[in-house]
Amino acid sequence: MMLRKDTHVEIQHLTEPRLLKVISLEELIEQGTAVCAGDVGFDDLLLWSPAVELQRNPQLLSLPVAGFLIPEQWDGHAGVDRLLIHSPKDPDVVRPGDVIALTPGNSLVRVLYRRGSDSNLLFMTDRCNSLCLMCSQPPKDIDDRWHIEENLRLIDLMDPGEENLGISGGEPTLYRDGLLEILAKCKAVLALKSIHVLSNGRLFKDPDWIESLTSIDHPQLSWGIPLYADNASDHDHVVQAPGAFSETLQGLYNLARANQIVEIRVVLSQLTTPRLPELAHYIFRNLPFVRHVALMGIESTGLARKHYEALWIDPMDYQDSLTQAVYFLHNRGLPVSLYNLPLCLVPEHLWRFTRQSISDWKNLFIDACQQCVANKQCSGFFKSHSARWQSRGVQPLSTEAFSAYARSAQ
Amino acid sequence: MKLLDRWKILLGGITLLPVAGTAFAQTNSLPLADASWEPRGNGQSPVFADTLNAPDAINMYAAHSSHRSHSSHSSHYSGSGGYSAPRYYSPPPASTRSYTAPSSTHSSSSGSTGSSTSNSLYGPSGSANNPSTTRTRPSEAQKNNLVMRVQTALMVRKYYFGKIDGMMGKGTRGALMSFQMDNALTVNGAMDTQTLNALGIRIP
Repeated sequence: MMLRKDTHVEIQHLTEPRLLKVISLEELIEQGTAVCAGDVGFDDLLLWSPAVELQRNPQLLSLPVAGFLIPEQWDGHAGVDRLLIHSPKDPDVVRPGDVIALTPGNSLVRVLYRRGSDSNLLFMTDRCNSLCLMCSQPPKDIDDRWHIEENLRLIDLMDPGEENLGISGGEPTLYRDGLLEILAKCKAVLALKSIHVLSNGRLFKDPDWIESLTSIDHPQLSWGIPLYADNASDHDHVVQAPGAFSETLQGLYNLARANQIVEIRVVLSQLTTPRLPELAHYIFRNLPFVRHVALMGIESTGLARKHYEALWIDPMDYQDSLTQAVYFLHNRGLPVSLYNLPLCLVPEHLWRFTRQSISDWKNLFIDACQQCVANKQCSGFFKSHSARWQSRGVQPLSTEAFSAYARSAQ
Repeated sequence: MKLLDRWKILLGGITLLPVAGTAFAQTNSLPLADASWEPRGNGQSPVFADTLNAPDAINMYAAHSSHRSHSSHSSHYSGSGGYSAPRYYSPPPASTRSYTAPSSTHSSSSGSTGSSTSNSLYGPSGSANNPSTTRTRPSEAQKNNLVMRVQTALMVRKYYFGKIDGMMGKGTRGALMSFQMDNALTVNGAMDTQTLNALGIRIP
């Protein structure tokens, strides 16, 4: 189920960093460079070709593509000075349609776009203006604007088809112009893809964003903005930034003024669950434009590990406040989802709100899940899952218990 | 399930009714994230299942039949007046080009960190290895790409044994004619729509 986004390979004749589109021979013939959404040439293509195919058609080596990828163990000799990638440690990681990044002197190939996956991401920056206690990806104070150019190029190389595409960081709005440029390009080049941006929303308090976002007018763009409390002191504590609550709220209203689609995200922890019903009430009363509320199990990695004592609460111990919050919103017509919560930790009557939300490349099922009948419907766990973060309620569901799921899902 | 839980679900259904007629009546009752959690197989992205090119598809490449006598030329634009530069197809949206020019803030700061400039980060988008793209007319590169795809398709089918160079030379045209003959197509040595369909090539 979980497929890594990088693997080690043998690389020959790589002289500069490259972003390349992996393409099969059939696709090269049928579609050529049109397999990519944007403006690319043959030199942006990496021909995915088993060794027998190359042996059968040695003329292929005269194709002016960027290079060749032999997706298997290979110790032959191509006899030409062409970029050649072979012998991947895990042959399933790179497949036709993917976009990969290569760096000279580094045998690691990174998959930046995976065909057919709904977990693809434009990673904007490692920087952030908050320092959330449960941050899964601790920010770094570096200038990494090069991500902007990489993402603009990545957009050109993606498949044009209908898929979900995320934009995340770090805090993507820190590179305001770059983000706007990327959103405009997504609209122009990837018109079929829906875009979901994760942002803490604080910088949107600047009303200049209204004009910018309105003029881009992306038809399938939504924003996931976290709100951790119905009051400033709790929220500011969770995100470790004084004034953040006020800024995020002003930002949320500006997003509404710009007619943006807004989702509120709440990470469930010891700090956020006690007042979850109050938060639901606050969202309903004060943010009537919100289209979706996601209540999310915590990812036990990054800063979260460091703040275990402050954050950890067994999901079995917040079922009551979760139930109240979910039904409060649901009964009032506000769509609610539960992310990252395995079915065994959620009361049966909330099962219909659970989603398989964990990105495919970091989603796994633990030993206790092997006997469970709900693997196909359950969110499972994060790759980072560990014993310390395991609820006492984790258990395999029986066929009888699970039949309730089928009923509740109707 | 506890009695209380059943009661909550029941109440959930009932209390939805008063919502009708309010501002929330317009709110989609399905979660926004629907599409993202619906299990999707590892399948390919959607591809049209119909034939490659419609019979009435605009195929400016078919005009190359008049070029037979100039097959030894390296360029299609030389000599014959029978060919005019195709106008009906255009390179991918020109707007994408404008994005390769970073705003001054990007380039200045990336320079300050000592990283390479944005344009050279992943090499030029064109093709340094491909001499054909050095020509100024954008359609030239596109045509060369199509010829290369034709050559590759003919090579796989064992009709073409030359270099895949994007040049519609004697060897390529001969291979094309043999292929057309074997497949009961009009034998004209041209990249017409019928022939491209038979080779499994979609017009760009």
